[in-house]
Amino acid sequence: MSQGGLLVVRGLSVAFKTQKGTVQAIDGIDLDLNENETLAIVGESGCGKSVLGHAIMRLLDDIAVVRGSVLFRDKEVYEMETTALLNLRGGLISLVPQSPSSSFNPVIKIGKQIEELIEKAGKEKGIGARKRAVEYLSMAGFSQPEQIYESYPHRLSGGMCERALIAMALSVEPELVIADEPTKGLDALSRKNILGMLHKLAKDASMIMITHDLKAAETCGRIAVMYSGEIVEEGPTGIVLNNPRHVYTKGLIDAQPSRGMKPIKGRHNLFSHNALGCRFKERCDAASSECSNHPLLNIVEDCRKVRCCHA
Amino acid sequence: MQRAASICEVLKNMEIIERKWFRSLNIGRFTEQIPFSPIKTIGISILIALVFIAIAAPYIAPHDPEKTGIPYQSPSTDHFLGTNDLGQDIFSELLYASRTSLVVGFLAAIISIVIGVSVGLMAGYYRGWVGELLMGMTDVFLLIPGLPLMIILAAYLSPSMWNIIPVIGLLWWCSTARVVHSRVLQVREMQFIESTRALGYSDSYILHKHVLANTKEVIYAKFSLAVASAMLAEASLSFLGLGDPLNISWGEMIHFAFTRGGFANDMWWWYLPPGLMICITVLAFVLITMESRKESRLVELI
Amino acid sequence: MLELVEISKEFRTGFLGKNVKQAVLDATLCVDRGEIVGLIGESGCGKSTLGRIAVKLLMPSSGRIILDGVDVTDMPEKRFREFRRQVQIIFQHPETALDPQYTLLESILESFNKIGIPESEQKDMLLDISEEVNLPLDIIDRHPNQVSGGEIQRAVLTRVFAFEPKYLILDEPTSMLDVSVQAHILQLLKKKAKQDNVGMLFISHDLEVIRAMCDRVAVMKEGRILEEGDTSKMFLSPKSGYMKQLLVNSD
Repeated sequence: MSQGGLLVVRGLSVAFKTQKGTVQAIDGIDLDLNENETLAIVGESGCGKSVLGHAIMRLLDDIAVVRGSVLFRDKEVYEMETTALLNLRGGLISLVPQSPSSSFNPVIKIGKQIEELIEKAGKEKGIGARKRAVEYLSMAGFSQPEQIYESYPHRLSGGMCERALIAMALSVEPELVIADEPTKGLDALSRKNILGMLHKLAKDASMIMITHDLKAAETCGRIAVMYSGEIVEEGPTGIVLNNPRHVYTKGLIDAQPSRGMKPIKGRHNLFSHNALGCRFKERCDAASSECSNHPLLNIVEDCRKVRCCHA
Repeated sequence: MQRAASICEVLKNMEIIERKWFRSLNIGRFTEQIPFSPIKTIGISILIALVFIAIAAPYIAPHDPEKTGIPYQSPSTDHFLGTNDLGQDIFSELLYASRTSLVVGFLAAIISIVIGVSVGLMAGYYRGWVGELLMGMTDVFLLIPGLPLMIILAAYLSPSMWNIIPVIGLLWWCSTARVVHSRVLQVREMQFIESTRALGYSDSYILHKHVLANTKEVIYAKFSLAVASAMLAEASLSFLGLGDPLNISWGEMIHFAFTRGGFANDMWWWYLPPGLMICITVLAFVLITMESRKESRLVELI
Repeated sequence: MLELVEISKEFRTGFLGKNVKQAVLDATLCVDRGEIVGLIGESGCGKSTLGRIAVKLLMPSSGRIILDGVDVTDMPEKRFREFRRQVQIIFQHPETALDPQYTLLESILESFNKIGIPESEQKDMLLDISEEVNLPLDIIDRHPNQVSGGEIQRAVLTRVFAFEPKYLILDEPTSMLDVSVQAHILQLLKKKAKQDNVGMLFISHDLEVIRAMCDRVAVMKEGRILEEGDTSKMFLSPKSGYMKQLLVNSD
């Protein structure tokens, strides 16, 4: 069943069992990604965007109930053998994890950690791996890559760690990069640098950028907005952000300080993931009786999908 | 209509607060779901049983441990573990010995924890030269070989339980101080320390309510281990004949078994049971300190 | 008026304080009641240090802190405590903003007790403030790791608002929050400043937030304040090259 795309996700659901009951972190996600495409997944904390990133790499098997399918180059990730899976992670798909400062092993030099990954992915060996690590560090915007290579992670600031992480993830020339909140907590200048560099280094790869920052999302070709574990709106970034069709997307845009800081009423909680009907209806001004039926992600215009019965 | 609804809302909120108030002020803190851990439960059960034996020794011991009779008897229904060279009942002696061993263990551990926690807390919170000095002192104490010094001290002082306890306590606090110190350094960097200071609370309040509260897990763990190691230290001293002859402990029982022919006559029922009791007690404390696996933090990941 | 006059601060690290790091140099800044003053700069420029000096969590190496005409710089901690109530600070990282050992309610009560509000009135006070800051009451018996960052920041606000502070130092209060939660909290702070006449020093690296929130703005680089002026002026026609550079980068 070839569908052509690099990554095809169908009906992906992840549920966590907690003391207070099951939390459906993501629910029935469908996603397509073509080669050389960049997709931003936008949403607020608790919407399941990071879980989606991890589930694509099959990192949640043992702690959560995962259903659905993830096809990478027409191969089902959830049916792969261990060796194939290990080649996939950190080889074909690279993850740039959240919280840069705790993502490196604190007792090993940065360069060594990058080198290790390059050797594991079978790209280079020995001196070659070292050269490549330094090369990627310099591409990541470090003027003295040799010095960074020899540094321990705690010597680097948050922004520098993030850049080193990106260099590490991209040094194996992956086909898909999943960047989880690459700009969280960074100042404007670092954010701009990081985004520019990320796109430059990943120009030959596809990328999924998971973020809560609409400014960062603007740098991607396509955008998917998530709420309560579902995709509520998807389409080309420019069109979606200029003319949002879902109330939640509109709310996110208007909440930005530059757009008047209008808060969205109500609050989001983890257990609204289990609610019946439209999951946003409690916080929506346009809610009506129709909203008690669970809306589907309908195609509204060409290449655009919205999950709202009023759109 | 709308006003009525909002009043209703407020009343409902009042009720919620009322309830939570009660819970948080009274029992809330203690009844929080402590994750059930079978390992911990086993450890605590063993410990409770031991403390019970120690307290109830006069009632459950079949004989007076001081009363003499026919020496070197083998285990029988009357003497479960036989008798020693003076014809005293070994089983009763074993029960009574738990008193000394536990008292020495607990008191020595309390001394070492009090000193260790105070030093670690002060050094961590007041950094600067105070901290340097205190931790430097700790390092010096750590360098002293503990057991030999203990043997020398115990040999020079009269062999009494009340000398052994402070000797062990004064030599075991260093590692506690180190662990508490590093934890305090971690805690004091957290922002709630600064914001509580900004509210106008004094250092002593913050140390006690916030720093100590966030260090207590480390302290509990250290305490259990300190009791265990104090008991082992006491056993070592007693085995070497430096124990308190008036308060027989498990270590001393082994010592007597050794010196009065228990080993030579291969009377395993004399030297083995006290050794086992020491092992079981230490094991109980180690089990208690085993970290129960916390609920996965993955919910945060969503 | 809260005045910071020619504040300098150097940190000494290493053996006998051999390494000196100049965090703040000759910074002069004042905040009037009811006014929100923004302080922009990149990470590590000394803006957080200046904020901590304003509430005397750090002592300046030189310079004066003047609070409503009273020089409080060298005032001993005991006498300063009555002023503590008037100047409060809120920090960036919600995850460590409250002690994880205590529930939100217990942390809030800590501040009520400090003010000395009798227990019979605490409940009403909590109801009042929680309504003002929009803190949902059904979560106040949870521990900080069981609620979201926004909810923690609201609890922190409840704690601080109980003091009825005249001045508030906000050190990146929303940079770790989601945009819709950020909007909530920023609106609330803005309303508080105007309604209750609270002077705020808003420290942030986010120009958009500063622009939306502040009446006046100061730009800080490497410990110095480069430029200060009305928000509209600063954003439309900045004098310093650094501010221009920041503006270019934020677009």
